[in-house]
Amino acid sequence: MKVKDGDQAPLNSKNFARDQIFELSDQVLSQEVRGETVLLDLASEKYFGLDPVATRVWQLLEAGMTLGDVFETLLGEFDVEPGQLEDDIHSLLVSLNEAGLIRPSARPVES
Amino acid sequence: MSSTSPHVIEFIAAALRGAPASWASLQPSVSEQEFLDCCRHHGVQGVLFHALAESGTGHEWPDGILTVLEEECREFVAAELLRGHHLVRISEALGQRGIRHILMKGEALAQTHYAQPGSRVRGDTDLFIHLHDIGRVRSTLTDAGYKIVPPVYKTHQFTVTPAAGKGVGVWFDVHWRILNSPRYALSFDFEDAYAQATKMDSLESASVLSAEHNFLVACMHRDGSDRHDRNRLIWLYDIHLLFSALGQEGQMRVCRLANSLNLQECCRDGLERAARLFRTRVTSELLELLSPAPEPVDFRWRFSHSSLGLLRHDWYSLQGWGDRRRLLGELFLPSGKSLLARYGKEGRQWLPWLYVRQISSGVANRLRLR
Repeated sequence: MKVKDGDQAPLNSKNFARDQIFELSDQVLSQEVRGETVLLDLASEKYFGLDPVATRVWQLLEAGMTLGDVFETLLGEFDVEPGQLEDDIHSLLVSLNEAGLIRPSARPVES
Repeated sequence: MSSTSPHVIEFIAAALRGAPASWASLQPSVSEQEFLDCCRHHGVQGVLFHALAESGTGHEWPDGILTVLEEECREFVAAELLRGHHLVRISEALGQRGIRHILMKGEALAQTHYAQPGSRVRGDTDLFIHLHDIGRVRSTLTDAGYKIVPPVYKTHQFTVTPAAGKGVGVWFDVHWRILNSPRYALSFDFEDAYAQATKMDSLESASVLSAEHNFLVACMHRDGSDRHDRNRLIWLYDIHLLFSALGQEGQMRVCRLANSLNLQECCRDGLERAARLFRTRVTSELLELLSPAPEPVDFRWRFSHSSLGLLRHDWYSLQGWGDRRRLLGELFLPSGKSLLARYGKEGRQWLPWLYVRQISSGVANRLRLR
C-alpha cells in the first residue's frame, strides 16, 4: 500500500503494506544507553524505554526504511520465527503510534 | 548497620573501581532498601549501574537492586535529554545576544568526564556569567520563555526555569560568583575562568570550565556545602575523575594554582578522601604542595572572606545604583509575600515583626566572620 499525501493508514490492524514508512515525531529526543534506547517526548514530557530489539527497529525507522525492509533486516539479525517477529514489530509500532512517537508517513514511496 | 556505614561506602567504591564487590560480603547486615537508600544519598545510582555493566560484575547482586538501578538510570537519561534540550535553547539565546556563559560543575563534568553523561546525577545545570551581564541574562532568558526565580543578588546566583508548563523539574542555576560561600566566592572571577575555558562541540555558544578550574570548584563546593553530606561519593568520584584525567603536568599545575589561591586545604582533603576510596594516584610531592598554609590571621584577609567583606565587594562590583538597591532590598527588605512564605506565616499582620527579624538577622549574618 502506498500512502498518499494526507491519507494516514490506521494502525489498528496488521495490514501494513511492506512499503509503508513511518515518520518519527520531531518532538522526540532519543539516547542510546548500553544497547537500549530512552525516548523522551517533549510534547508530553513522558519517557519510554526500548529494549535492544525495539532499539534496532527504531534505528531502522529513523533511517527511513520501509516496513518490509525492517522486517527482513531483523529476520537476518535475530534468531526469531517470522510470525513472532511480525507480531512483535506490529505491537511495537502500535505502541509507538499510540504514544505519538511515530506516524505512518504520508510521503509516497518510490518503487 | 547503617546504610552510610564505612563498610557499605567501601563496598560501593570498590564496585565503582571495577573491583570485586560480592553482595554476600554485605550480608546479613544490609537490606536491599538500605543499600538503595545509601546509593541515593551518595548520588551514585547511575554510575554504579554503568560500572557494573562495564566490569561485568554484580551478577550475584539481588535482582531487586539491579532493576531499580537500571530504572533510575533510565530516568536520569530522560532527565538529561530534557535538560539538554533546554540548555541548547538557553545557550543559543545567550549566544545570539553575545553573552558569554560557561558551563560548570555537574553538567560540565558529565559532558567532559563521564562516558555516559546521564549517569552523573544532578538536580540542576550550573552556568557562570559575568556579573555585569546579570541584567542582560535576565531579560534574554525571560524573552526566551523562561522564568527567573528570585533572589538574584543575595545568593550570587539565580534560578531559571521554563515559564510555561513544560519543563517540569528543569532548573538552571546562573551564577555570577564562582561559589556562593564567602570563603570561596572570590577565588577566581569570570574573566579568569573564561580565559581558560574550552569550547564544547555540542554547544556552539557555550564554553565549559577548564578541567583545572572544575577540579578546584569540585573541591571548594564539597567543602563549602552545608546542604549535603560533604563526603557524598559522587563528589569524591568527580574529584577522582578530574584529577586522574589531568595527567602529571596538569596535576602539578592545578596544585600550584590551588596553592596560589589559598585552596590547599580543601583540595588536599578532597584528594586524600578520593584516594582512599578510589585509589586516585596522588604523589607525596603533590600532597606536600597542598600542605595547609598557616591559618591566616590577618584581619584584612578574614574580612574579605567574610559575608560582610563579600557584601562590600559585591557593592563595589555591581554596576549602577539599580543593581545595588536590588541587592540591599533582597538582603534586608524582601517582598512581603516571600517573607511570609519563608517563615511559614499567613496574614499581613505578621509583616512588621518579620521585617524586624529579617533586618536584624541579615545584619547579624553579614557581620559574622568565618
